[in-house]
Amino acid sequence: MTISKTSGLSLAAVAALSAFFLLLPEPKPPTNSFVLGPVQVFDGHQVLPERQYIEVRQGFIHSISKQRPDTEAPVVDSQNPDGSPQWLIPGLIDAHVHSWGNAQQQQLSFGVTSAIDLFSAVAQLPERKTSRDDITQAQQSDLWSAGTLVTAPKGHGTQYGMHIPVFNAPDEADAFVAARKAEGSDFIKIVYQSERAIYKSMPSISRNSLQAVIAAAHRQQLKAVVHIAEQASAMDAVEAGADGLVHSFFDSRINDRLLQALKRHDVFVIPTMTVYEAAVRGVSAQQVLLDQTALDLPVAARAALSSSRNPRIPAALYQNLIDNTRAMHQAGIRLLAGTDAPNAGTYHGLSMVLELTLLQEAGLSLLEALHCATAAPAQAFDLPKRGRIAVGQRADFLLMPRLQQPTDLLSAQVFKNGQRVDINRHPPQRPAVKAGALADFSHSDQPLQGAAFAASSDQMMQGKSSASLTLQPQNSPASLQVNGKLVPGAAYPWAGVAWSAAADYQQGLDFSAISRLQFQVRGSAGTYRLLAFSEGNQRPAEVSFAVTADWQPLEISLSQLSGIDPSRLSMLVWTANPTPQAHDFTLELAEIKLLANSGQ
Amino acid sequence: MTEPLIRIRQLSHSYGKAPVLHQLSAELYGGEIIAVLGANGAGKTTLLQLMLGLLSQQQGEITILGQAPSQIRRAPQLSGQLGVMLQQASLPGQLTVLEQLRLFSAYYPAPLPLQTLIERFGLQSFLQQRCSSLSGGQRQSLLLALALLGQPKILFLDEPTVGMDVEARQRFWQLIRTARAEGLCILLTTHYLEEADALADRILLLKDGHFIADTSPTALKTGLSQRQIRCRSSLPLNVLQQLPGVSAVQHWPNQQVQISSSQVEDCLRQLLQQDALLCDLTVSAASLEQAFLQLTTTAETH
Amino acid sequence: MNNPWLSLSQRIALYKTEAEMDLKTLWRTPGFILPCLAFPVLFYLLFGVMLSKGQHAEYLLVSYAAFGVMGPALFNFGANVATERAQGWLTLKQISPAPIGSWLFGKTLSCLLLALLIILLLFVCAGAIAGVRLYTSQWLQLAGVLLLGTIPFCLLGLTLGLTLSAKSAPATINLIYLPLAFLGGLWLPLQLLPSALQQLALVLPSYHLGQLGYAVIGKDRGEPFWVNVAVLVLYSLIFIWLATRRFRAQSQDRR
Repeated sequence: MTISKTSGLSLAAVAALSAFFLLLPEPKPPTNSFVLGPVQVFDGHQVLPERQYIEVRQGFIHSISKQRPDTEAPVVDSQNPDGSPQWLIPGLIDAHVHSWGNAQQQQLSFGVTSAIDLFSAVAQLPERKTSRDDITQAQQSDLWSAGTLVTAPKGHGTQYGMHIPVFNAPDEADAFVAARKAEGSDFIKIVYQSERAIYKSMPSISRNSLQAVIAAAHRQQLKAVVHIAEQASAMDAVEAGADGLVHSFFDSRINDRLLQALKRHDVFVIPTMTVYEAAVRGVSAQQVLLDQTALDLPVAARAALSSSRNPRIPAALYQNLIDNTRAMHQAGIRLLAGTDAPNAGTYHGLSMVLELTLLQEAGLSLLEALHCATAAPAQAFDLPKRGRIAVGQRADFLLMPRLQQPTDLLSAQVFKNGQRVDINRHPPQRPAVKAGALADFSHSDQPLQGAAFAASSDQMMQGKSSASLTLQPQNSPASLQVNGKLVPGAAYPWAGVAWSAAADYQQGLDFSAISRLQFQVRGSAGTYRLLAFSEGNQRPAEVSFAVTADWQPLEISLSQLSGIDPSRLSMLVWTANPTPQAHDFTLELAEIKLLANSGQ
Repeated sequence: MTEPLIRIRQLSHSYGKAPVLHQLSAELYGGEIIAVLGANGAGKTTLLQLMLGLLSQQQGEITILGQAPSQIRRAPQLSGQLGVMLQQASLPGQLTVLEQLRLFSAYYPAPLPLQTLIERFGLQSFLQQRCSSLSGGQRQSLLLALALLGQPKILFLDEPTVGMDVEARQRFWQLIRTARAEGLCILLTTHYLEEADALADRILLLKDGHFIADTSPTALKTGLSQRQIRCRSSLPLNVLQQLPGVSAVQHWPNQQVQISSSQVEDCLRQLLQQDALLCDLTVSAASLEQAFLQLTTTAETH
Repeated sequence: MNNPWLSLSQRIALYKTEAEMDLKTLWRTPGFILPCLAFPVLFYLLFGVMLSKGQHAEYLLVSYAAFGVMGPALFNFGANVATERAQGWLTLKQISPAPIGSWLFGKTLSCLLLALLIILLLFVCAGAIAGVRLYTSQWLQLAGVLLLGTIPFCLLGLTLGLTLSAKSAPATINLIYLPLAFLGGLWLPLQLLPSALQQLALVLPSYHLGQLGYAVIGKDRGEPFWVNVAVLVLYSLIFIWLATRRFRAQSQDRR
């Protein structure tokens, strides 16, 4: 009798434990099999004539039919309240990005399901391949990468502080391409400027080198695309056998000879209207996106898209780009939609809406522009099973109520690998700074909030300036002294001291509750600048201030720092201004305080 | 002649350089209670630990049930024939008496039934109490029950009635006698002379590591040359001292005297002749204490 | 000598009884049970849920579960055995025909059941309060890994219990338990400790237990799992050897 009592108890215990474990909550299973319909389909090339039902199985498009498939799979509702069918288009492909951090997640949140990266750190390449092969992932876009670009010593690409191998002579071509392939490059990107270009920017590889690299890439079964900035360089690239140009040009109107060459060699062009428009004309972001209050754009996006015109370039030159694009389109040359995010004036994912709008401005219809953002880049870069709505393709698509203008894309449901993406366009909240002193220089040269004060100069970007810090606790007020030398010549010369919010110089802190920044300053007489950076923004806000040999109190209102997101402020830099000649300077800061709205 | 259950031959033991036991020899049989009697520090516990295999032997031989103690530790068939009550054993406090009995019973293939144990050892009244809350006497009863529940052949008791009151001790002794009646060989260490006197069939007197006596209590006491005569007598001291075999005379003001004599019968005859008014006469056998003291003193002088 | 002392069914009954009695003993010692159960749960709710706003709820669940299951193993085998030794109870058992295996089994089973209870309590907190979502296979794997992983700590506790005095045992074991957990990276993530301590962690069993747990949720440091298992097995063997030696030596103990 005792034994059966134990057995009974054991059985009961096993049953209870089983029930317990089965009841513990599980993650929502990814449902990547379902039926969708009836929808109006733009398949990447054209609108299908009738309403369709799409069946997705295990992340792939299984069938497209006019009748609802007879299956047990769940059905996704695709009708508008008024009974009209919603629109289904392939997920967008941004043909020109530079991706790091959470760019891939951000892209996906705006409907960009695949992207072409045209230069970033090679360490990320293996993980990108694994991720895009993973049919179960729905967290981020799929990325194909150039890896390290091909550029001359001190050429474009070497100024970003990343140490990269450079290309010296044509006979290096095979080895250089093989090395890129081994690192994981999906294709080869080359930076080239013709000797005939009028405005020379940075050193470039020679025309012979260009030909050699393109030939080597083709021998090793890799496509070769070329970064050019003027018509002469474009011509050289096409004649050297390039498969595509990753920028267009606005230095001149395109001539027939180039048009025919592009057509004859079937070269594709990525005009990157967005980044040029922001730099040269600088109105579209405001009109198309920022003025539309109905769009719930994250603060960081608003900051990134705010005006970033380069005043040294005549705004009228943008018309050249419009005309050139129109001419290419009319000549039947393949155009791909690419934003060149995250350069100034762009925001990963969101800027595709602008690119489509700007392509429309250049004469393409909405559907033609969408083709440039879906089937065309997939075909140009041989992206497997992407870019179209067709049987066997990945179930990457956008479902939206209307399709009349590019901003309609922002209200789409996004599907990646057959799973509905939980769209979150707002980056995570950062911890808030508190009103009060930012530092106590009588005790330490390290800040009371944030990560560190450090000497900062353009040396990290191959510049020649320098700076060093000395704590002066014995002064009254106790101060932090910068001794620096500002040497002109770099693209963005600076030297001074930087306060960083986080150790990685990327993450920011939330300054929303702060209204003013107060500090005392003295030093070598002259004008200086305070730069403020926010997360993900390349371009800082700048405020100038004057310095004399005597202590002066200064107060800067945070509203003066335009174009950055105060809820994720990542760096403050006090820097000297460049003068025609190199000069030494001393700058002392004290009593740095953050003041809140209520006046502390 | 039955085989001895326990045999010790020329057993010696030292702690480091200090010798504790010298050439001890003895044979112990079933159905008898053997008390190892000695002062504290005489080596009783060492002897017990050696027999239980808790100390490794140095010199000499111990055979229990035909095997060495180290062999017994390894074989439950053998160790199950031994019951042990150790002096320092206290019980894990959180289990009840009944649970403790059940646990120990599980160690044996044929233990005494629980009901028998409860009745025999008088555990009924505190059966459900936690072991930590037992009185000294209750605890010892339980420990004895645990020692005997496996129906062993040999029972070892190490100072089992320390701290018990008179009633509890008497009850305990009765249980021991019952066990003897069932044929057990019972080895008991004690420093209570009274206990050895009351219980033991044989006393092994342990002094300075030697067995200076191995005999029954009666024989011990009878072997004593001195006995006491107490009476009230008006005979003067010097007369008393001249009586046959007298070694000592004590007297008190009320004419009470105490005479220690090795020839008590002769002494008595003369006393009665010489003092017709003698009254309150008692003749007592020497107490074990006297025997003990005498023996140990004698041992010293040798 | 070929007949076994106890028949098979008697042996099974003995193992059951030993386990039952050790469980009862533990259960009736609130000073033992309550801290064992309460501390991991409280720490998890405080650090895993409230202070970290649930961002690291999964990671901290593994941390505090590993910390929690080490407790009963070290204290039941450690402090309790030291007490049993001091009381002379262990000696009595050694002299009796009781197999030492049943005593070890009883203690191990009660440790495992207590560990299981701690795990279940933490799982409930994780699932119901902290919003942790794992596949059923992951919940089961995590529970299994942690239960198995208590064995080396049971053996460590046993070695300590046979070595330490009853008075010093609880304090000494705490001095071992808490640093072992901390230096193994179960309180703060290892990356936050100085690199010298990070190196030290690699030889600690608590670190390897933690890594096996983190691997279930994909947050381990990437070592192959068999390395962690091998270290725990190695420690188990070392402690078995030490405990056996202590056991034999202490049965030759003088009074």
